[in-house]
Amino acid sequence: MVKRLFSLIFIAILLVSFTGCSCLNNSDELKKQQVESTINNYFVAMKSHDIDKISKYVSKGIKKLYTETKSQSVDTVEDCKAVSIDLDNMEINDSKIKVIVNYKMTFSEDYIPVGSREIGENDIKEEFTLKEKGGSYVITDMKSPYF
Amino acid sequence: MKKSIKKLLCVIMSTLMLTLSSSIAFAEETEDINISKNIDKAKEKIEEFISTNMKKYDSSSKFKVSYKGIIKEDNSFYDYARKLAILTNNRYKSFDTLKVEKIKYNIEYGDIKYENGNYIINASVYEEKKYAGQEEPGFLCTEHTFTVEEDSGGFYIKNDVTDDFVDEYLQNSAEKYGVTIDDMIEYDKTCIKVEKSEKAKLANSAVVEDDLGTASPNSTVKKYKFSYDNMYKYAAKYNKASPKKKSNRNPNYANYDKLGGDCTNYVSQILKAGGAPLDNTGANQWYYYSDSNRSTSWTSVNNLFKYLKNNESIGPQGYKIKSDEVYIASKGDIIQLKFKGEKQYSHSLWIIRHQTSTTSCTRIACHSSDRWDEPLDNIPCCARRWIKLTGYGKKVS
Repeated sequence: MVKRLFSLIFIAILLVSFTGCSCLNNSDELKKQQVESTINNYFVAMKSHDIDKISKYVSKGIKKLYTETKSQSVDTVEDCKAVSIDLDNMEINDSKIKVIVNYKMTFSEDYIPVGSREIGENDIKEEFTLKEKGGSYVITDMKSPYF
Repeated sequence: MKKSIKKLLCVIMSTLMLTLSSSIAFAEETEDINISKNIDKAKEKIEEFISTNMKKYDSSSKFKVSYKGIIKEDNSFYDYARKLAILTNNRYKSFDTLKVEKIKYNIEYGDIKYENGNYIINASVYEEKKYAGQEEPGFLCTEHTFTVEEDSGGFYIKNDVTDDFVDEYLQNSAEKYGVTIDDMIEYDKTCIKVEKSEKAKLANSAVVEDDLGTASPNSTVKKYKFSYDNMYKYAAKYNKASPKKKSNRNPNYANYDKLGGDCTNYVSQILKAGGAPLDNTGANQWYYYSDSNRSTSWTSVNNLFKYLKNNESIGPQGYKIKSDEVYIASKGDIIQLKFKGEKQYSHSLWIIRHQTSTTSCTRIACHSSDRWDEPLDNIPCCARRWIKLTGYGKKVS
């Protein structure tokens, strides 16, 4: 009787831990999907020069930056697409996620260069920081991984 | 009877064992105490050596250095250390800007080993020097590995391997090219002459108004020296990391933090604060009126470099310093960085202060990830481009 009871308890523990693991995996997978979706949608919005659309995928701070300066850097984006999003090595810290993104951004002839960006196609590598907001993620920072 | 003999033998054996082990322990303890005392004596000798070394910064004609009693005179290191001090002193007494008013230093000891009769002692030496005319002192940290030997009851420095720029250069050159310290002393005398004449030229071109003759016949363009104080005040006012900041960014300019980087925008603003007028005429231009009405040179790393290099008229002017002449750089100049895997330079920094001998003491300020008064070495990069500012052209009626 006692043996049976112990076996049952053991099986129950195993079940609970397996379910827990799979939940965790599912939750990580979900996070990866959400992060990927936010970044790709942000790129599509940048290409459309639509500040309202862009605002859905960025924090208030970045929105303010784009709207207050009415930056021509946004208006001159001809194309913008992800080359790779390093989801396997993303850093998860509480509600913050950091991920390295390689993307291509093409600027029109009207673009006035900033930093190392030039007119035409640019290969850009940046570290994106995303924060959870209302069940999805918004971009709160984008910076060179070197400095 | 037999039993009592056995007992007695046991007692004797135990006593013997105890005596033996306690005497071994005593000998070990004595040895430990001796080593510890010797380490203290070795450290005293290091402190004496460093204290003597500090004399090399004496820019007066009284300079004299003697390592007698610190290094054995028959050791080749005696001659090397003495000449190294002379080499440094030649530099310090040749330039007014290197006049040291106050000096403080501190020694922090690291690992200590005892090998083949020598004490190998690692130490970091922190120097704080206040140069004449400088508001704040400059810092320098060098890592040392001292070899101290004990001979006839006395302790002597046998060798000192450091990461000091000059020392490393000499050690490598001696190994690779057979360059001796005497060659280096002679070579540096020539370098000092060249540097002096370069600095004099720069000072003259900056202070004396120089008609560049590139403007219209009715007007002239004169060259002026940048005001470092105004540059510094502005740089400190608009930098998140600065203790004197008024605001993170100047609201009169767009912020390019998330749009390619604000570093060159920040450097351009500093140049303007230093006195440089906007330049919106000719082939080379440098100006900012609004985000959509600005020159490429205002915000682009490479275009600012091209502009400074080519501009000979109104606006800021400069040139790229050769990689082996970084000593020409000074506070107020610019450094641009290229990172691993990048095709072109992508970051601009402004120099708050600069020390010829070590980049770890060159302090910089920058946007977008704001840094203030940070050692240049904190930003690991692939290549550095040093830009010397020679002044700025300004139209006078």
